[in-house]
Amino acid sequence: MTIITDKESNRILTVGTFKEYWDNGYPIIMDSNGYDIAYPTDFTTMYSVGEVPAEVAPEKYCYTSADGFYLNPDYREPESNPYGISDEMYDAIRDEAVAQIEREVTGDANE
Amino acid sequence: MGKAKISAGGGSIRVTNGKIVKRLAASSEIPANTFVQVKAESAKVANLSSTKGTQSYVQVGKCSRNRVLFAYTDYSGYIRLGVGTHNGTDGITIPTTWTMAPKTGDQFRICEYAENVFILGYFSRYDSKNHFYRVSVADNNTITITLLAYISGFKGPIWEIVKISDTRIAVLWGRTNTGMTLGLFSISGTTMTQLNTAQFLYDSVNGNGADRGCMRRLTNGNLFVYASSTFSSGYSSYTGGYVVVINVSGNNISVGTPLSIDASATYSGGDCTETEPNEVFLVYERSNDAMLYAYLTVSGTTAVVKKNGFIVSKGHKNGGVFRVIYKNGLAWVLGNDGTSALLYCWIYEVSSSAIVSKKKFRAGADSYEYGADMLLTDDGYIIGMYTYRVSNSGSSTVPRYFTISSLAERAVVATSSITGITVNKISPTKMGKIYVLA
Repeated sequence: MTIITDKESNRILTVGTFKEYWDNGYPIIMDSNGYDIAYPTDFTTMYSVGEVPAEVAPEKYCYTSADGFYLNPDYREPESNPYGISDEMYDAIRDEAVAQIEREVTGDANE
Repeated sequence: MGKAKISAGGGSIRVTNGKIVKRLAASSEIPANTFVQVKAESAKVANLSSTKGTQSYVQVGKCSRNRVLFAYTDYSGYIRLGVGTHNGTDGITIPTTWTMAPKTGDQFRICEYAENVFILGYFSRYDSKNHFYRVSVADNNTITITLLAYISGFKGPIWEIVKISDTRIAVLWGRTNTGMTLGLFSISGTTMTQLNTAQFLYDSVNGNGADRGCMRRLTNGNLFVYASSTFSSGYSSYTGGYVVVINVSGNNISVGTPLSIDASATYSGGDCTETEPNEVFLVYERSNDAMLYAYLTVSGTTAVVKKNGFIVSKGHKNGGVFRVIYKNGLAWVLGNDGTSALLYCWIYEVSSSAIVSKKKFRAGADSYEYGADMLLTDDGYIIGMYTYRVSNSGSSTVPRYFTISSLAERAVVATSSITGITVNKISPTKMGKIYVLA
């Protein structure tokens, strides 16, 4: 199997099958959904590995040659939006709530 | 007495007894019986949602030889770029290989910068910076992505990127607590430099303002901006939708006087297009109400409304106007009908104030989180793409493509109520040529 990781965080972006290289050097990987994806070499690293443990999933796990597979310490399960509103509005309200607290604290700092 | 552990930087905890008492430095001691409010650092909040799938934003762009650059965000928040070919009445040959761009977390915009070269920009929730990349499409459809710059200092989604000259672009971004910002940048090779910025539609008293918009460069060289605020009256002195015309001369940015378009145009944004030199057709939404248009004429940095009215008068809400194309007195509006959360293309005739045709693109399970965009080809076709997520808990975002014909044959459109537009859907796993048109 072939693994593509993010060059900075080492988190796994995809697990799939290597097909070929593009002219620009990008490796093309066929992912589990059957899509062919070319990964920019400036931002990603490709590894050829044997077996991939069943629990390994993109985003949830990282990989390096030295450490092998390990849990992504920054991984969190996706947020749920239980309010019956669009995710866009949910995000806007959430962002504004955070921004309001930021403003309050910043205002406090100026007192 | 209690002890507070404050992370690096201090000051993110404050102590109150019904009112603000003081900010605390790191390792401060907190008096008993006090209420402690903890500030959530924005970067931390972003990290908490680092794996959250995003709304699937979409944009398309023209390449040479009848090719179209399709771009959308997938379920994990990565941008995928692919090249398809427009074949006139034979439809579109869709991308067989996608290129994965770095992860965003918010919407992205692409700007046609040179032949087969685009500027890709987005605000990253993960490092709170604006990211810019150069995207080039080779003759054999390979796509190469090169980092141009990470720009910090101004937060907020990028709403538009517009080419100013062969070496300059203007970028519009905005957020509720910053209002709108226009940034002027120079590009040389793979180096991008910020030259100047201007903030506008910002209420400095309340600390907020307009937070979403669209922008076009007019024939007179000025930038036409429509921007609106997510939140309604009482929140900001800039409530609703505004038009602002901006002059860029050298490194100087001169912002014209804002023109209020509609005080009820909150939450949703709009799109606009220059129909004649310095005349603009704008389509925008009123939240939970209607989709409207305003036809404006621009002189210098002053805009005046010539005509306005409803496109969809009732039952239209929170949808988003994805794209407006105007040709031969007809406006093609790709947007969302909020009553059913379905994607439509309306064809609106300005002279008769009537919708002469419409087409529903999506139904049922398709309606969960989506994006859409379209462009007008040189030979008179409208090429577009929209996406939908398989389900609320689904793990993939699926692109679909469409061709709209009859643009140049107005009579065909005008006499066809529904069938004036023909759309062919394809299976997401069936990568082949699609055939369209009645």
